[in-house]
Amino acid sequence: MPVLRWNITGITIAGTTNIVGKASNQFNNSWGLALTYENTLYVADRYNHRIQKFIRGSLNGATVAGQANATTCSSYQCLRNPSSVVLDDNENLFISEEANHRVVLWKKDATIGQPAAGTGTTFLFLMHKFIQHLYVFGKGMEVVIISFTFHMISLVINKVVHSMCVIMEMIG
Amino acid sequence: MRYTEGNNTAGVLVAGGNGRGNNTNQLNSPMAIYFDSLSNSLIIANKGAHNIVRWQIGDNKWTLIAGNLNASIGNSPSSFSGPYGLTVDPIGNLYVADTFNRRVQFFPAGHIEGRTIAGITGVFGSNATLLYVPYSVALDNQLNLYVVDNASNRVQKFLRY
Repeated sequence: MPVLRWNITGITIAGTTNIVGKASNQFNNSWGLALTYENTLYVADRYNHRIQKFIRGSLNGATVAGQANATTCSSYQCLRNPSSVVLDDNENLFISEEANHRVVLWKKDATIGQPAAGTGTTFLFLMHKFIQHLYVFGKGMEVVIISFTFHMISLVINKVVHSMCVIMEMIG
Repeated sequence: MRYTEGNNTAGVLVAGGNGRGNNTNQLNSPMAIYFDSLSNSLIIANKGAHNIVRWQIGDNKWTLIAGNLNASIGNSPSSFSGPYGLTVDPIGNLYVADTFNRRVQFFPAGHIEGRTIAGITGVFGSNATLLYVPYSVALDNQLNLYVVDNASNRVQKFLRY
């Protein structure tokens, strides 16, 4: 195995350095990212309440979840402080929303999301008030939630994919 | 792992849940995870304890992968300052967004000494060789590195050569 090396000079592939804004080439507090096999980039644009998609080589992002004009609300047309985005094999998006206390599934090319985990008010019995990050196993059946405010990681069943209420039991 | 039926839409605790702390049965502001399917464990960016830990699924404690066992902050090759993000490549090498050291650290599989591959330790900025507040890291299938630099509102790509 050869030594792995990287060029120390970075190339800006999304966003505009030190500029906060809601144009297609701007972010307002970006956080999570996800990549496809074709190097399509998805970025959680947190305070713009949207997920931006960048085709390889394009500096202009398209809003694929939430509202392009950065408006927010609690309905499933909107996002509120999305902090992370995870893709499944079909490029459907799982998005954690800190301020809506839920995880939504936003199917590829959909104009509205659907609930995947969380009630939208108080989140789960573990009382996650602040969903910070998530991780999706396999084909999106299980969603792992990280709560940094409660210092725990928990696993929930994606309600969309697996609606028959299954508890996952860890037996090592 | 095993599935059982029940009337549950809630979660099952996997890691932490014993309050904030630096003991091995606790987490301290966990920020990111990677699921390592080979070992059936989570690799966790344990930001508040300034370390990266492994939590075997079903276990009740973590083991140290990188950073300091006693949760001390630092800027040496084997220390972190508030790591927010991580990823792992197919060979098992670890990449950490060492956020407040303003760098990305590379740990060959099994090594506790990291090597800086993006940014300059302790120097924040927004020119092409610096990082400001790196939050997240990802790799493409050529192992090019992508870094979300939160405070400079951009995504930087570092080409592997």
